[in-house]
Amino acid sequence: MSNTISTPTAAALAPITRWLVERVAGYLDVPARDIDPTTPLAEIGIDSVSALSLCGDVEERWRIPADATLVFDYPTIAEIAGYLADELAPKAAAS
Amino acid sequence: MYPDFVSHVRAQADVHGDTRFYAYHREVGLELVEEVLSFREIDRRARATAAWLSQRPEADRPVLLLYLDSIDFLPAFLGCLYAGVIAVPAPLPHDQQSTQRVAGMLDDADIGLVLTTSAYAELLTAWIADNGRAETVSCVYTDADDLGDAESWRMPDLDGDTVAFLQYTSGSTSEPKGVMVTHGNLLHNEATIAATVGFDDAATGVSWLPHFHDMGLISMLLPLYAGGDLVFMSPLAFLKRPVRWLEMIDRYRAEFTLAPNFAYELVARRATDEQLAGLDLSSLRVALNGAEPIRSRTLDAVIERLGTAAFPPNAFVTAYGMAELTLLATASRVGDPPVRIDVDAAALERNVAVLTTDDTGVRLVSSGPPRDLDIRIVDPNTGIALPDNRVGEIWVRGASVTAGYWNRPDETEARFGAELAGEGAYLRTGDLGLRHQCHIFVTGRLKDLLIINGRNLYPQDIEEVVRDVHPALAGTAGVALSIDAGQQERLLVIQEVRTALLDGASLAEVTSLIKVAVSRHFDVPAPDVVLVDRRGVHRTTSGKVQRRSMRTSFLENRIHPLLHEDIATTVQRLRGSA
Repeated sequence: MSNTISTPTAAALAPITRWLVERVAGYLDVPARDIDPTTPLAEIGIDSVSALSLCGDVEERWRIPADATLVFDYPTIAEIAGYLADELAPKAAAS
Repeated sequence: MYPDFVSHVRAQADVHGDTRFYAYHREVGLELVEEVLSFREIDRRARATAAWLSQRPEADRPVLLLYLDSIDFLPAFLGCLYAGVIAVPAPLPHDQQSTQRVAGMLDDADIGLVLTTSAYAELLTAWIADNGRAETVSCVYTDADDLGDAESWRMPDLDGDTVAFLQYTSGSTSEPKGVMVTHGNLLHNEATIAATVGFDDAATGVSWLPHFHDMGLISMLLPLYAGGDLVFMSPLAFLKRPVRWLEMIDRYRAEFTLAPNFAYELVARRATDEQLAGLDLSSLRVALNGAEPIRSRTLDAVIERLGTAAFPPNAFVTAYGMAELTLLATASRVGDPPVRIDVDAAALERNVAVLTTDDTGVRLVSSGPPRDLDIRIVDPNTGIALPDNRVGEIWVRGASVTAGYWNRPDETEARFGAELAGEGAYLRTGDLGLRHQCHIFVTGRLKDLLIINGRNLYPQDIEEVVRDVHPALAGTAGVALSIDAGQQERLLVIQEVRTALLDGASLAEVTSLIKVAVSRHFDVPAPDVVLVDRRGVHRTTSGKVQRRSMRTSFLENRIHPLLHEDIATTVQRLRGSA
């Protein structure tokens, strides 16, 4: 297993970011274009209930464990997308 | 009829030992793994724990229970009861506020022993040491091998007046109040609930409520009481994927479930068409809705949305209660839709309910008739009982009323010893409500009531109007308060703002919108307004806004993170220096 940290490509990040933006927009009941992926989720109104739902959605969609600290460790959509892209990359290479 | 809960449970385990089950769904990685305990096994584990506990030096004081999963909590909790030791359920501390709260409970109940699971024992032991309590508080995990020998257990001396557990849902973080629930209270309230909803030994219930809140704990014990089955999971498992709740009802063909209003709202909104198409909720007879104000819109939304999954339209049972009376005080009739009435808004502000066909009327949802207890509606200022259709404080008397607050005789006397004109002592609930054709309608909290120009306004109504004013306010927390500015009471709104959703509007503009909306809707002078950033409004562990502590913070000029203020000089003068 390589020790280098791979930077996720823009191509890998874009669909993940889009999916997260759509989920979050759904919880807040606002259009997706109003969600800035670099704004901390807590600032745009994601409370603990919605944060847990997002974890559940991530688990269901990407089959990666996502517990309540996900939003705490990765406060913005962009950072969550980066984390997910990293988690998914080895699987993509293996499949 | 047994005098104590332990004897009753043992009798149920004797009859149903191998045929009734508690089926927990534990989160393991991405999956929910089913973990089943028969009544026989629950009883055995309780006896094993009790045999060990009764030999411990700390057994003469209450024992704190800090568990994540209810399936680990239950045998430990029953173990305390089987040992004649007072159990104190609490949430695992996970942030500063809950940590302070649990520390407060340790002191208030003079606790010497904490029971938990192996996953948390080390952490909790370190936390206890950090807080200088290593000499006086021990921590033991109960989820490995049996701590004691179940066969060497002996029944302790228990009767109806023996305190079974302390319920710390009342009170603030700094002044926690432990409600003393006796064996007699527990048996009486469980019997009441079982009879009210028809939960018998053929029943299956589904729940995800936390075991450290009154509604979660009492309902978790109900199947054991009645000889039925329970299917359950943690509130975290539910919140991660709300449709799991419905899936459990379907899979186990459950007749009973319960939750606070917000959860019904949540699941109606989150369930997709695809998920609902694959569900059959027709087994449900009772979906109990209680623990927070019941919203008419939610009932309609659920009936409509979940109706596509065969949710029976008359399944809702609305209920009211509190820890001070064990749990249940009132509940609507099974099979009947909850009664809703429309009353004249102006009359309600003067504490009178007058039915109206006007569409400006206020819709009230009934919590049903009283169940096995005596309810009076009383003028909180004069202590005189009121007739039907008049709003007053709800006073309660009966066998479910608990023994008082642990070690707080003055508060106990004030709350539990209210005299009603020679009729004896009643519990003052602190809730406002009215009786209409035998049904109790709860309108709000007495302490939060706003009296503006002689009119009674409920803060939650104002807070709802404020949230509708701009998308940057929707879904955030806010409080409506009154400040005594000498000549008059002035209305104050403190509201969180999602600045990222302002979409070009200035804070001054949003302030203006709030003032106009509130003054127009309620026909009051425009309120003072404070806008704060996220988490600027204090909330309890169950998410309720804390109006009184916000009021104190405002007067002491400690509001943060502050975004914008628009305060009249007369009120500004009352505030401390920043």
